[in-house]
Amino acid sequence: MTDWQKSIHKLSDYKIKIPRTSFEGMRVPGVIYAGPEILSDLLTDEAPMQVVNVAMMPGIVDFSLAMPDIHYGYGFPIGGVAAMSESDGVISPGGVGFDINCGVRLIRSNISAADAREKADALAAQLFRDIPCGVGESGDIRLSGGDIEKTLRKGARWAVKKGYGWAEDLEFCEENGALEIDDTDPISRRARERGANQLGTLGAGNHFVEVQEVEEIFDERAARIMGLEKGTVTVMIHSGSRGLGHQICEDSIKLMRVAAQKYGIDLPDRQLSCAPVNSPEGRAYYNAMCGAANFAWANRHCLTHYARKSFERVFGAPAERLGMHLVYDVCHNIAKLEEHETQEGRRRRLCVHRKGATRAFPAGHPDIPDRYSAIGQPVLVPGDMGRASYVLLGTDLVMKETFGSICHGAGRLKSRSSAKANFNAADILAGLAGRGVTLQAKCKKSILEEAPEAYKNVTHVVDTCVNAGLATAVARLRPIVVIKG
Amino acid sequence: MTGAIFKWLNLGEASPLRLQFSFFIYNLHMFEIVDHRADIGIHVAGETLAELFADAARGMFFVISEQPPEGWPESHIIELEAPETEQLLVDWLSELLYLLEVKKFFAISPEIELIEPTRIKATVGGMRTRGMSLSAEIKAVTHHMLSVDRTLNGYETTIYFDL
Repeated sequence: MTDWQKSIHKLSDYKIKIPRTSFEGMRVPGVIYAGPEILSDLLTDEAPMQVVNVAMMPGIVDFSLAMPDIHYGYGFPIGGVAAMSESDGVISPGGVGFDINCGVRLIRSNISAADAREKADALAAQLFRDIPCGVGESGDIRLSGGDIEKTLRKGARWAVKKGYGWAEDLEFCEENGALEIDDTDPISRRARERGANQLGTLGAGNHFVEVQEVEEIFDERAARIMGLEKGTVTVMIHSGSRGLGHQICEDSIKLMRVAAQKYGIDLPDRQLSCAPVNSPEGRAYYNAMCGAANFAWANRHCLTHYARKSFERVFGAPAERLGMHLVYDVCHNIAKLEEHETQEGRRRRLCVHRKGATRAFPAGHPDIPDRYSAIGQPVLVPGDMGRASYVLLGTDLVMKETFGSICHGAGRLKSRSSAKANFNAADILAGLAGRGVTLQAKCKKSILEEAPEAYKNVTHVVDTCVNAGLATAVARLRPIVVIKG
Repeated sequence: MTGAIFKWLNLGEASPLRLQFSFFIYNLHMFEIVDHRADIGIHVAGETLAELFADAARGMFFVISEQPPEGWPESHIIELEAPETEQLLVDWLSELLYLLEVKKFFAISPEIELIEPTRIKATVGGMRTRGMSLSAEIKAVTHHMLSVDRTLNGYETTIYFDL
């Protein structure tokens, strides 16, 4: 275990630095945002070494960053942000992860939390029936080869055309629910095959659908613009690109292993395999990744459609009348080509890898919807299934310090094995019931692994972002019904 | 090794005894679960590469489900080549994950017929599941810190899975 006390410099109570000279091969320093509660745990983890490893990648600009929800991953740490020069930097499938465009969306409503609590059991049962979830679960949607191609190219727009989700939702998805893709050829037959019956499925693990109460508003104006009102209900959905995205990542890592050798790139972890952004291999991965991202947006659109239908059945009114509009949809596993001002004061095109980190463009940024131009894009930060989730806004500082990024969730505190060894399902269910949460899960194992105490307290993560000056809080959301795969 | 035993006992593919013996081997747990903050790993050691690959497959399926699911017996032939042993191991396990996800085939008894550092041929016995009551979704086999090492007793490796 590395003695991090010797290697880190405290820049403030919420930010530490691993100097470039700490480890041979680092091209830039590492910077981790961590408040006191986060830091004590962080120093017993090997995640900072993954921040160091990322700092060794060719063309990395300014810093290898990690958000306060940092924890040990594979290759990149979870919570990692790294921007590579488009002209002489690299793109890495490991910097995005297997679940390409895993992301979160939030739907508001006019329904009161009291009404939702009264119908919590019916709502949980209906959502559990309507939303395919769990290991290996297929959905009702069967995609032909032509449908897959359209989904890869058009993302959420394809879903809307097929009647899943509303046209107005598109404006409130990052990138309007589709990244531009030049060529779908790099996407293998096998990836397409894996996606054919998985559109409109939630998956398992930490993916969820949650019905929440807007428990506290911290910023009245921003909440009003987002349509969030204290005491009303929201729906949060967390899922990604399913087997299609996993296969694209796997195919790409294999190609990148060869490419890394071809371009003479030597890396401390095979999972960091990469190729120059503008090489044939780099462009092939970027295109394939965009296709998977588009599939993920279409998937969350289908899940939104199912959730709205469940609410219609339980509350006996159309989703439009229930006011179930999309607040926003963010991706937190992605690489994006963006323009940023670097520390040397130059505007440059960068390939920004966010692996377990959320884009948080502030007020006035041209890439956010008109409705949010005065406040910034909503940043959705899910917590664990027992405590809370948050809606935040990025400040101007994110553009100076973090390539327009902040945290993506609570981050795990305990491993799955440790959660299974130390918790029991009955206690977890009793604890959730005591907090007024109704849970429907496919299996006991996922209840244990997803126990609230297996995660960091999301409030500590959010406090770090706010106190470091990266974010302001808009609202806290408290779970009422949780659906897990 | 199990393949030779089946042959010696003259147990055909559909034989219930063959299936029971496969379950017995599956439950021997010739691997060790390795803790990881977000995901999970297995440590596997084998006297031969064939043992290492077979136990890695069993270990991965143990993570997916501690008990094999119900279904009917089926087998698949897998032949793969890769530029190096680590990539071959990832490809081998990924192939089995693909069969699980797309063909609903749960591997129980991998019989390695030929193995070289960059090539494998195997017949994998298992169950075509009737609906999946599995407890963990492995998204992918990672390359994280992967190294297949020679030891005094044979080979060993630690493989992490993305959950």
